[in-house]
Amino acid sequence: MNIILNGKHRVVPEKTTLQNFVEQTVKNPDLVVAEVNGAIVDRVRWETTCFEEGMIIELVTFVGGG
Amino acid sequence: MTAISDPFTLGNKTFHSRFLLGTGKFASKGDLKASILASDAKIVTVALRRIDVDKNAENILEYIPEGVTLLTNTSGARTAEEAVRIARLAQAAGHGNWIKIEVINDSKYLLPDNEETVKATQVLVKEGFVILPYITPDLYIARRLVDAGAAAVMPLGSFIGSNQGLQTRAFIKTLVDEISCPVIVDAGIGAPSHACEAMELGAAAVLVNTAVAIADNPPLIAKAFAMAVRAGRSGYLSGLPAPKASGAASSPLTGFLFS
Amino acid sequence: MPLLTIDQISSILEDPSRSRLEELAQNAAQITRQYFGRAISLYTPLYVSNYCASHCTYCGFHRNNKIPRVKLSLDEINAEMKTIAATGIRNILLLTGESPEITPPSWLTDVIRLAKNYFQGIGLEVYPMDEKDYHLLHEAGADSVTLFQETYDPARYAQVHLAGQKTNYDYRRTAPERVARAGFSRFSLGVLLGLGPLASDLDALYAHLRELEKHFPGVEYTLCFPRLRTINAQTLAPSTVDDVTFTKVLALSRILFPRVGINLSTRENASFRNHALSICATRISAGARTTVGGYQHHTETEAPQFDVADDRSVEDVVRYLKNNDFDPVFTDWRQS
Repeated sequence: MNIILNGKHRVVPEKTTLQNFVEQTVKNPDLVVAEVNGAIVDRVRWETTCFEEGMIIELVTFVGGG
Repeated sequence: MTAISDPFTLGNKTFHSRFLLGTGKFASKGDLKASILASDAKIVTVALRRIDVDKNAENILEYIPEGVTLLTNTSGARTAEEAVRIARLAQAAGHGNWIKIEVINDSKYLLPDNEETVKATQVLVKEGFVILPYITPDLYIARRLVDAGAAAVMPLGSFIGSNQGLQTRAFIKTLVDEISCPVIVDAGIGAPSHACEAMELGAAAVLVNTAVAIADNPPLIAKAFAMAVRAGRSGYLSGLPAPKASGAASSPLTGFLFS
Repeated sequence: MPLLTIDQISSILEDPSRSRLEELAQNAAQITRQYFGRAISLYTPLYVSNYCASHCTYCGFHRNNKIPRVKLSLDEINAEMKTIAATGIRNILLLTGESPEITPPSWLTDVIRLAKNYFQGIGLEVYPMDEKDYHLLHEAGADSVTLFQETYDPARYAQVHLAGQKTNYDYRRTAPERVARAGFSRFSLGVLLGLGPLASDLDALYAHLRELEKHFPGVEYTLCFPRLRTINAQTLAPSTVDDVTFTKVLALSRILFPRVGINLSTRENASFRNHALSICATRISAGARTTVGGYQHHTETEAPQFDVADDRSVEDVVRYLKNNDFDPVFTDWRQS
């Protein structure tokens, strides 16, 4: 299944949830914010948010800045 | 070290440190942590960026000690709308809702768009954020920001990263004199003496990033900055004598009173 | 610039050092040049009525003073204004006694409309009024109001203001806010030197001005320090403020308020006014008469509000200014 993650196309397995994905790819899931199709998805809903074809996902976290 | 005899109230918190540290451009995260500790900075700025999911990188927050307030900047935003989006994302991370609004649409000078900053402030204050807007010092803009409920205003001292000190000192002074919320000088502070001067002018605090991050010894200069901020603040509180009129003596103006 | 405490003001006023006085004046002069250049704004006062329902013990117009009471007709006012305008003056200050009954706001608007035919800047030095009345005057074309608290010391204020609307200290002190909200862009405030306790009056005046600057930053302020003088050569001042002290008051005001205008009236003689211009004054009257009308035909027996000590004509004043490298300014580019 194709999604757009952080501006780039990505293929992810069927039935991937946001929770799965973040846990597998990010060291500190607690510091990540997820936006799906322009709307912020609260962490409590990551378990129940399944990726769908063409979804636009943004995953952001804190970095150094002035 | 200090009892809170000169408390610095910002938003709904009270601090005893008037030195804010930016966390960008540090070559070594270890230096970042050491600098925060050495300077006793209690507010640090961070940014929000897309994660690189293929790299399991450390998170900057791991290097920020407990008890330090995070001030997330909206860097990357080119419009008020983008700044508002970033602020909401930051809040959703669950580490507070203190936001430094930075709306820059100009890659030559990196000057903030004052008007977009006002718009973003107006929206976000209503949503309960604690907003510290970064601006080119402008009294009208500052007044609008105060009216909108900004927790402070952050006028730049000189161009970001230039380390040129308080090129805008006369304008910073007008803000200190005329508006009723804290003035935190941000951008361009390149040396502890600049930080000291900002505090002598009456600034409530200063924010430094580049000068510490690129120094040979970041924790040492961070400590120096903190000392300079305390010195300048004490100078201001003590009531500095007015500078003497400089320039050549001109003909006497009051002789007529005694002739 | 942070304000001084009363003690600091007192110690400056009491300091006998001539060199420190000179330093104060030099500081004031430098600041004035920096913010005002050498521009000196000129205006002429026109008293249009001396009817007064108040009793201020120090004023020639007070209601118990047996003087001929005059209220000029609109035709007479027109003639006076024409005469004044012929001297080149473009800024007029209209004055009355305190009589809302005889010279009500509605009448004042008629006078202002006349003035609009001749002058670019129209100021009013009349009784304090409600915001809606200030609004009327502003709509009619006036752009400035002058109103002195006289003294900020309530006890002293009550001693010298014995009857009439003038006895209301608060109504007077809050008038500037009403003036600003009514849309006026210029306001002059001050104290009458020699009337109240000097250091505390200055302290209160500076605090008042600072407060106004913060709440109404769009208004251009001017400070005035009329000194109690004689009326028809009778001394009225309970205590006089001498020239040295007066010079300190002016210089100190300039230093504390670098961008506020400082006005010197024709209560002061030509020599003192000239020196004050070199130090910090930025606004003076020229060709002034303090009798009602008086420009068309001037008679010595008429009743002035105070004796004019500088009776130079506009032409004389302009010549002095130009010979001393000042720039006489008749109109303000910011006034439309």
